[in-house]
Amino acid sequence: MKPVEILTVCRSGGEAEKCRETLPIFDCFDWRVSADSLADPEMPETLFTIFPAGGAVVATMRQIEIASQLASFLYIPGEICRQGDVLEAAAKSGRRVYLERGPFLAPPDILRAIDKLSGADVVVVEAGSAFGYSDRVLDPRALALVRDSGTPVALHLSELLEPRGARYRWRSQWSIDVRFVEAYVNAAKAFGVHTFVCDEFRHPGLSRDLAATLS
Amino acid sequence: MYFGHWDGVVCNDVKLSRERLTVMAGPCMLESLELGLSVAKFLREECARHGFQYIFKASFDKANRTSKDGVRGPGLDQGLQWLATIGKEVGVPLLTDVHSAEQVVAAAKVCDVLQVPAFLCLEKSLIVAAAQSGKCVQLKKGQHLPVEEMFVIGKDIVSAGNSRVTICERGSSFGYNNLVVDYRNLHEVSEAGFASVFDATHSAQLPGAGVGSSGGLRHVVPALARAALAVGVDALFLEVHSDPAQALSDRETQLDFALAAQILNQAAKIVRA
Repeated sequence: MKPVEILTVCRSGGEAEKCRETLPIFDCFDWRVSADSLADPEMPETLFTIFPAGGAVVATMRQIEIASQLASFLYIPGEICRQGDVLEAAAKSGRRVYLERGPFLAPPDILRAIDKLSGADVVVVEAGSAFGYSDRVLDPRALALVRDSGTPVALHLSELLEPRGARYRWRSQWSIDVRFVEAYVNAAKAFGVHTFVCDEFRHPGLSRDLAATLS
Repeated sequence: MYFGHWDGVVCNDVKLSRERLTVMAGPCMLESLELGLSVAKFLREECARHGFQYIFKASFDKANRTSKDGVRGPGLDQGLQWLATIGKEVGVPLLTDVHSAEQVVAAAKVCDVLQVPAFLCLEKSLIVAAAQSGKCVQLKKGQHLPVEEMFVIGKDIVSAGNSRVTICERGSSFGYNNLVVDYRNLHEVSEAGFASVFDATHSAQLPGAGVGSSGGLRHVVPALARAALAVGVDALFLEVHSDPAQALSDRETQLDFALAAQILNQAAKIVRA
């Protein structure tokens, strides 16, 4: 049985320090203002000196160019999962690519996105399917489809609990209870998923608790 | 109509107003200069007939095709050259999609409105660059996002010193491979003080429903457009092609000239009522 792997999205080295038992994915490209709008993104190099196995969230070709010199792996967020240029650049980087399935994307179409990453070492991150506004549902069909394609799958627990961004003001509160993590993990394990992603900013301590529970 | 700190002026020829509808329309992809010119001339005349303001739209790069074999378009350099030619020869303002900060800088030299695609509306570097361009920025609402998210992004752009922001409704995810129009969003956008735009053709898409492509329900586009105009919008967005059956993208939703004319006729009756 494969050991459980937990990845934590962190916005700083401080957040990564709090969950040392897990692998950090740094989401901290800084957008800067400059006179001509062509500001090169910045990502602190020291992060990868301290966390050499860490990855980086990337959404543009320029970010990939910078991150692939620093990070051990790349993480492409769901909204970007169809962007041809970004996927091509990620494939050329030679780094492992965690590709999040966009919540709007029908599960079979993530296989087309993998095609655009030809030859790359890919892990599909299942972050749920859009279910109204600011809500996701875990569709086992998505897990089965990707598993059957032979591509490894990870599960993004924070996105399932509460998607990124502004919350729909009428979203019911019961649906974002962190106790549902257990149900998600158990469902995913039934499909052979052993990699889980959490966001330290949105759910502080979740990845640490998970590491303790699942190890 | 007053949008926060913005008086609605997009460019010299266009000021968004409920008194005079603005139509943003053109082919999905700028497949050729000839296509762009023919569509722009047709739509300029139709809009002038009804007293509508008109902005030509076309994409130079379809960066997020369903399949890796999907045709992308003429690219940045050629596309902007063609757009500039169309703007000059037909005498129309221009709108195009941008996908990176570099594209923003180049497109801002040619176009009057820079559109942030729905899938990229959370991409900070693109939003910052668009804000800094000083051009009118049109945000396509992400299909899976609540409209509240668009207000956050819009306010970020305004805080960066650019109050010229429009928010464009283009349908919300409704299960897989399907979209539904939530007309509440049009009302909420206006209440929040932003200019509201309705994309009637993309709202009729069936994303990824084709074989390696998206499908669509062209026949419902007129009804969707009428409903949006009845709710109240500041602009109507349409994709129009001289021969949709031969289009290289969105073949199932682009309007031919006859259907576009029909929709604009109906729009004229509604806005005059």
